[in-house]
Amino acid sequence: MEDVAPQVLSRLNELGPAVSIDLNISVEAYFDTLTALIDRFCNKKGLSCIYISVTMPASTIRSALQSLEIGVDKLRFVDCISFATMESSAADDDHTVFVESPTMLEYIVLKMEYLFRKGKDQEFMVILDSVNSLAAHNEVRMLYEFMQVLMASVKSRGAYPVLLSMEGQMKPEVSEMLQLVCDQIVTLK
Amino acid sequence: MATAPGARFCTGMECIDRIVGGGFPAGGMITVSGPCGSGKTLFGMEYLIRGALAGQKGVYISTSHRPEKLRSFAPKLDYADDKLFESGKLVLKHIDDMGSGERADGKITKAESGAIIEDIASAIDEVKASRLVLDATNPLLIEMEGWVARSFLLSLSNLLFEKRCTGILISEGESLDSLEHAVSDGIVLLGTAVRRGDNYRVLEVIKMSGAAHSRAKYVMDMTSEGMLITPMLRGF
Repeated sequence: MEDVAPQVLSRLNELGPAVSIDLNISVEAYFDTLTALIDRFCNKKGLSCIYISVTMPASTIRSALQSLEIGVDKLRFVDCISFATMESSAADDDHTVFVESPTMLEYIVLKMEYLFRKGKDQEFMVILDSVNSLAAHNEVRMLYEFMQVLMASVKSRGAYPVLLSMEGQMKPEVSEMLQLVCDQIVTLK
Repeated sequence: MATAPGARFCTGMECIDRIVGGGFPAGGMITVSGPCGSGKTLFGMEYLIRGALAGQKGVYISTSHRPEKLRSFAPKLDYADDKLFESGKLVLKHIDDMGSGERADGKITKAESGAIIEDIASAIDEVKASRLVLDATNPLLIEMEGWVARSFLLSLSNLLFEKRCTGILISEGESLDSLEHAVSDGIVLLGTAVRRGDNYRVLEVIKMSGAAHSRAKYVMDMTSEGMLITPMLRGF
C-alpha cells in the first residue's frame, strides 16, 4: 500500500472547499488517513474540524490522535455512538456533543450547525466517519436525503466536506447513493 | 399608529424568520403551543433576548413561576447577557402583580380582565416595549368564563396592535381549537414525533397571517447558541 497522506492532501488541495469528497479506504489506511486529514491538512491550514463519529466513540479517536501527538485543540466531535453505549457524559469535555442514536440523522445536522455557530469566524472541515456505519443503522433512502441536507449545509458554509467509507464493505445501493451525493469519490491505493 | 399592511417583524431567531416569511406580522399576536417540555418558554425567552440584543425592549409576563425562579432556572445561553435584565431592556413580571386580584365565584370578572389589560398596557409603555411574551395563557384563561376569555384575548390583540408591540402567547397543550388559536395572527406548534422508536422535538408553523410560510415539519434543538431547526427527513 502506498502512503495515503500525499494522495489525500493533493486531492484536497486540488479540489478546495465546498466540494464533497468520499475517501474510500482500507481498514489498514484508517489512521494514516485521519492523520493526513487532521494533522497535515486541518492543523496546517488552521482549519477547525467537526468530526462526526459513528464508528468509534469520540474519546477513543481523540486518545488515538493524542497518542500520535496530533493536536486536537481545533477538533470538535459529534459523537453518535457513545450515547447508545451509555459511555457519554456531559462532563466529558466541551469539545464533544452527543447524538442519542445514529438513526437520529436530523440531530447530526443540528449538532453540526451548533458547532458551526460556536466557531462562527472559523473555517471548517467536516469529516463523516463513516458512511458504512451510518448505512448499518439507516435505510438508504433516508441516508440519501440526509446526505443531501448535510452536504448542502457544509457547502453553504464554505467548509470542506469529507466522507470516509470502508473499502469492500459497501452495499451496492449505498455506493450508488454516494455517486449521487459526492462530487468526487477517491479510492486510496 | 397603524402598521403598514403586510409589514413583518423580524424575530431575530434566524431559523424562525426563514420559515415564517421574514418575521411575525408586525403588531401581531402569535400563539406558541405545545405540551410540557416542548421548549415553549425557551422559545419565548429567545424571542425577547434576540430583540433586546437588537435594541428592542421586551416584557415577559409569567403566569406560573416568579421572575426570580425563572431567571435562576434558565439554562446557560451563550447569546444572552445578564446586563439585558439589569439595564431594563428585558423586564420580567408576574401576572399576580397585575389587576386587583378580584374574583367573583372564583372567576376573573370582565372588569378584572380589563384591569389586567390596563396593567399590561402600562408595562408596555413603561418599558417602551416592542416585544411581549405571556407565558402561559392557560392558568389565566381557566379562571375566566369563555366570553370573558375571548374578550380578554381580543383586547390584548388590539392593545398589541395599537402599541406596535409584537407579542407571543404561550399555550400549554397540543390542541389547536382553543380560544387563543382562534384570535391569533400566527400559530407555531411545538411537539414531539416518534420515528422507529426515536423521539424528536418538532416544530410546525400552522398559521402566519400575511405570509407564505413553510408548512413543513422541522426537527428542532434548543442549544446554548439558540434554537436550531432542520427539515424532518421523510425517507422516500
